[in-house]
Amino acid sequence: MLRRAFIMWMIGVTLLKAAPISFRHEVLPILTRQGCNAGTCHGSPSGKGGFALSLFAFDAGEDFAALTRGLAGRRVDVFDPDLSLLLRKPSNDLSHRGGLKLPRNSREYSLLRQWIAEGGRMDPKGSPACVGIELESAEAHVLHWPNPTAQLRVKARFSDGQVRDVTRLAKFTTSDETIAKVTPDGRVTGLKRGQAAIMARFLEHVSARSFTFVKPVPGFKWNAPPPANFIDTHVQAKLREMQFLPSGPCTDGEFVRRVHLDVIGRLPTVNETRLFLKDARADKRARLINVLLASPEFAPFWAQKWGDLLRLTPERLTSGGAHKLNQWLIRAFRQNKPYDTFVQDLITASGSTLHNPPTNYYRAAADMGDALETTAQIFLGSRLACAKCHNHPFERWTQDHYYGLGAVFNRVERQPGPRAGELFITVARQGEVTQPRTGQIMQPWLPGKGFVETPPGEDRRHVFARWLTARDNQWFAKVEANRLWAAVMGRGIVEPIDDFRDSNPPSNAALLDALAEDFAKGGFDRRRLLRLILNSRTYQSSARTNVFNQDDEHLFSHYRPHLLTAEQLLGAVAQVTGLPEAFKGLPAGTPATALPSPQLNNSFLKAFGQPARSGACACERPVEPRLGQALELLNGRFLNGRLDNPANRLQQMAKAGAKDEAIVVELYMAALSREPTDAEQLAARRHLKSATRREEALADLCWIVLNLNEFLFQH
Amino acid sequence: MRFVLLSWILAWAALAKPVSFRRDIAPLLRAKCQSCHGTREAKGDYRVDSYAELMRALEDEPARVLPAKPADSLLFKLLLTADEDARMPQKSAPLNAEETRLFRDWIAQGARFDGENPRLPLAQIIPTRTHPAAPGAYPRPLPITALAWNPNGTELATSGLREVTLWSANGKLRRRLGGMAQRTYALSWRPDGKTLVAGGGIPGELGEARVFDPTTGTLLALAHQAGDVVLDVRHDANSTLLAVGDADHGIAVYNTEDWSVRRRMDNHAGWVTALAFSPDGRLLASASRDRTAKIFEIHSGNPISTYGGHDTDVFGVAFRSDGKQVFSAGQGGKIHAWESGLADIDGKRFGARKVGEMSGMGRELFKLVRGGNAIFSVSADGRARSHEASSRKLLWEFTSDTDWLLCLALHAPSHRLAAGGHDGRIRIWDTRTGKALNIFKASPGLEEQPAP
Repeated sequence: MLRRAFIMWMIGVTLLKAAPISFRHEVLPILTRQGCNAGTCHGSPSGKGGFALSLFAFDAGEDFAALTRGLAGRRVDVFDPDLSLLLRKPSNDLSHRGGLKLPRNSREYSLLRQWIAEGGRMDPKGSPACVGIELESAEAHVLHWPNPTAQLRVKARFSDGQVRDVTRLAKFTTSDETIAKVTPDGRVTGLKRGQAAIMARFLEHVSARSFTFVKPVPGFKWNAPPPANFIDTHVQAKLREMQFLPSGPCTDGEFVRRVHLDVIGRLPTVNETRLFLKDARADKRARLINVLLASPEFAPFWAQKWGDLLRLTPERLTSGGAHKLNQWLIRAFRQNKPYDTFVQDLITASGSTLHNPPTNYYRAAADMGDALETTAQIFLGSRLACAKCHNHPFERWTQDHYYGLGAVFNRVERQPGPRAGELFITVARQGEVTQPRTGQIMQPWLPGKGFVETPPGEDRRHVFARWLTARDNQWFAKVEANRLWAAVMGRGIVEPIDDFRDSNPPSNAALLDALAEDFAKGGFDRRRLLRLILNSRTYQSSARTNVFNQDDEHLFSHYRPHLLTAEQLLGAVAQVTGLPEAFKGLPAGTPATALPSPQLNNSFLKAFGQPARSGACACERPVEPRLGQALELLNGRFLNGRLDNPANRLQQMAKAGAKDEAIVVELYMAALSREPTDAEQLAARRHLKSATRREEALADLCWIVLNLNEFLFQH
Repeated sequence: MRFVLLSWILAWAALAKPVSFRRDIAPLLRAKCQSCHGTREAKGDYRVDSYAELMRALEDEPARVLPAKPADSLLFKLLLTADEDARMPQKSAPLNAEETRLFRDWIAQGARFDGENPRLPLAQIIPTRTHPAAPGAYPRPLPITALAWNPNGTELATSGLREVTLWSANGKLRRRLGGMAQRTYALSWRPDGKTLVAGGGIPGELGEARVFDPTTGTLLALAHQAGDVVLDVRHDANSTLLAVGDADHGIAVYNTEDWSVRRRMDNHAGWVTALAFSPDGRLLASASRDRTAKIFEIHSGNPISTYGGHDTDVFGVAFRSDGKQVFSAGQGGKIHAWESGLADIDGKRFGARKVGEMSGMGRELFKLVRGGNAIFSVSADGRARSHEASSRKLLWEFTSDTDWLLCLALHAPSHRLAAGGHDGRIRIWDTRTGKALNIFKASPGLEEQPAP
């Protein structure tokens, strides 16, 4: 028995030995695993130290030539394998700027050495290719202390049907190294409470698994109000699992201010606030939400958000095109056009940019690359530009996918029309896309579906749009649901909102799934989804934290205060001071939150991050505070010009003989939607009394309130 | 405690085997330290590329090496410190016990220099190495990286494995000149045929140009040593000078009489891949992986022209017969023809002007040679070609049907062009007719039947 086992083992060993090392499936993955072909090292476009590899080995032919041909015998010496620089440098036998990457006694070293000793050959033609990988783990996706560990295995499927364990050839990375670490051999260990995705890469194949690490918090006791809808159910389930305690509800004053800013972009008026605070009905918040969603101010505010995405500027679209597209967007939001129709209109648009406003989509996206990158970013939440030149470094997107998606858009033609600034968007009946690296003609490619045949002469955009807007397209509903969520919650469930990928998982996957499902089921009704979110306890929770949720950043256990957008802030200052900003070429009283396109010469809007709309990236609206903002608030023309202006709301009240007390209350109600506290009232009145010039003191007071975080932040 | 340690070290030093800077320390500095502390990059303003630099004290700081005091020498302390962020070499494995012992003993023994000129680069003072012998028979065909006809055209010197092999024109192995390092990348006969210079080395470690008596195989001199392989060697027409270019970015011109250095040109920022003397012997052209080709004036050593039109690695360079135009080639598969602004102001550096190109030759071209009014090239597309230098017209395409061609040699009097390929074969053509004369595998032990 033992003897037989021994013989079997011997046969096994001999068989293993007999198979030569594969260049594609062993050598290249090792180069990725050891970091050789990373973007910061030899994988950078110009290489390092005169030695260039393709990024994460996407071009096996080039890499083979670089290793075996670049000055015959230098990097790979089949006559004297130990003298190969491929071994000597990374093992530090010779000095290597990249440091020790391939210890001499490592398994990876012996594999590379063996490949060289076997002749440093390319795999024979017709060898099976890897078609995909699976990332497996025997452990659950929730890991608990005291043993928050899991072992991952990577299985590679080959074109001949074989499945091989390539765990020791794959490269593992963690999405958040403060939360979880992973060893080169796929052992995951949680470092603290939280969620992280572990990604495995084998050649161009990428797969990720999310883990939740749960650590008991001393003294934690679950306690939460009953959910208002399924949103709260999912949020609370996640919070309970992760042991965070939700904050209580926000005050009515906070709510009225928050919901006005989020839904129609402006502060409530003093009157609106008073009425709401006085209202004693139990469902007054739900009623206000309905009023605001139906308000005429709703559509221009949301059209502006889409103007950002569609790069709506007169410079790009001509003033006629920009105006038409803006009107079209406003109408779409006013009529609450279902999102799937809205997107189809944009993607399949043909005709004149002046007659059919959505055609301006293809004016902004002036070529195939732009059209496919913009479409992927806005509607699939994928940043695809990397894949133009090489396979995406963090994602499963390959260069083939890029050009396959390009085949959807390459036939779009743009021809000048008879009228000034007019462009005709038409679709040619033929024209193919060639993958620049392989020279292959690409079929249109649909994510998750693969390359598809399209009938000759058919507008491929229709094929794509049908796939995109289908109810079962998991990306489509999720991306928009997440965008709507982020618009009112201050942060996406996936963040950044246009960077969906396995290695950047949602902070609450069940919540996003449920929102997307509801959105699709509800006929892609954006107003309906917003109403649902706004009515949740999650949206209405206080920004004040408790000991059990102060560390939470992503799970929505409390409201996340965030700076008002440039347009909201400008509008808020104008509203509090009673002095609107006049914009060139627009009707008086147009609020900044209804501007059709960026005001390039407005330093206040610029400082607070109004995007120039040069790209479709959400990152164009910066969230980090900047010095220019402080300067604008300290002594900028826009703010200061309004403080001691005799037409200022407070100065007017004073002139009309209002008492100090009433003026202070008006200021607090207008700016913060609440009455001043006794202490605030006292301090303010003392300042007004002691001043020699009342106008100046009023200006000071106004300046102070407008510089409070409570004013500057959505809270 | 410190005193005890010190005396212990002193006692140890007295007992320890004497450590030689040239033999023991210099190779370690070169291999482990010099990539960050050398002429190209000097982290912390500190260099170790010569003994003088190693021992130099920086302003306001004690020298990094204090003779007889290893425990106080910063250099030694940094080899041993447990602080991973401070330990040298950075980002690399620490030196092993034997290597740190050598440093300790050498410093304890007085940190002495056992050579003549402490300013010479380390690569030049490390003693001549003895390399392992060449194999009797090659296990597989060796790619041919260098070729040179002897002056009367009867023998073809060929790069071998740790040797130079000499073949008759019909593919018979005549002699083997041993003692070379791992690889040979350049060969040049002295025009009088009395000596043969072979350049090569061990990639990333050593460059050598060895001078042989081609009939006896005796090593006459080690003309050049560098920190990376020698990529080209060229004699001038008078047999008085030898130019050497290496992967250590250096060019050196030697007097062949006593192998003293005539000039060093360190102007390139990448491997020097090819060299060519102008027909009048006054100028030297160079090609480099820094994507430029240059012209130097030999008597001053000054660069007088830099051509940057390739935008890719340059591997080959040749002068036109009148010396007024230079041809250079490399990645991109084009030969560029250019001129310098030489005539204007003395000693001043000038740019270069492209006057034309020859294209359509695959993606990589290697060495170039000139014969009369023709420029010969070899390409990764497996072909050798000749172009007329003045008209830049293609004269002949010499097809080899197989693998990359890496090197070439022209015997002008007999109109024969030889080219060596990655497949280990040498091909010989008649340059007047384009006719293939012979093809043979130049790997000892793997010879095919020579053609009749």
